[in-house]
Amino acid sequence: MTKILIAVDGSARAPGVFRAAANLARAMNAHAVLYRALEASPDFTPPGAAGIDPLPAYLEAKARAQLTSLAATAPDVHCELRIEESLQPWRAILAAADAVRADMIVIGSHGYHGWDRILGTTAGKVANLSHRSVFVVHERLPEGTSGTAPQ
Amino acid sequence: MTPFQHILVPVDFGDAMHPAIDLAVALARKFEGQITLVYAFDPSPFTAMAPLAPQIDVEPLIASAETELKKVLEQLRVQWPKSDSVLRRGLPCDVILQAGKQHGCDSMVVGTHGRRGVARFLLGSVAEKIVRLSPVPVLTVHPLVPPVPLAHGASAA
Repeated sequence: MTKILIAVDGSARAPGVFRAAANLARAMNAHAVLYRALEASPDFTPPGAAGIDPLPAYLEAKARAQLTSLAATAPDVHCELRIEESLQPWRAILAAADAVRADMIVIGSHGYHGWDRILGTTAGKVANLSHRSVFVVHERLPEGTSGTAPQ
Repeated sequence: MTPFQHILVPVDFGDAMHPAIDLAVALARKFEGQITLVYAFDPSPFTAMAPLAPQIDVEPLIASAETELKKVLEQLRVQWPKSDSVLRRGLPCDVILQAGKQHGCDSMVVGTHGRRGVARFLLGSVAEKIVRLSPVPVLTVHPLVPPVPLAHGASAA
């Protein structure tokens, strides 16, 4: 069975990225792993406080609700949900693709402006460093929505 | 809109283009799309030393590239007749992005050379620049990856 890892963030672009990925999954008759790397901030979760800090659990529940809602828009595509915390989402995406033995990664890109030219983008790093085929979806934002990716 | 109705495939006559062409054909069949091959002839290596070195006539080189591109297109048309090609002069990334825009392509399938580390840093990567700057979805195809199988039957669109 062909497997594709669909990496989304919490931005308004995620539905468009998932739609493109779902079309590809149908064409490939593929099993999809819908993936979200939660950018864990050490400022919010001090070491040893994970058990009492409600923030990580809240963020994970919110992310799971988002992925569940996305998966529901393509009921004919078999989707497994996967959420992980990471300080560097691009590393987490590459590791997840290895872990699930994905044949392909699908990821969204917000373009290449300002600091991105120096620091690079998550999509650019994944496409650059992956030894898998990578489908980079340049999804435009719906009108009136923000480009930021809330946790 | 479903991508892969019109796929742009940059070619450089190297090994990396073959997996990209194969995947583009499979996608074009699946989505009943069209394929445009693009080859960028970059004259800058031949003109950069112009004040110091004798001028090199690039026209025979361009004619040779046109012949090579025609061969690739003929082989492609055997697999998928709805295909054409274009050769332009300029920096590869600029040529590819312009060709995609002018031909109304909705996606690109780009072969990568799989260079890592220092080689990638020194040589740069046309594929990487395209991924960053393209306004349409880009599928990068790694040379060591086995072909991605596509389901048979009706279009997935």
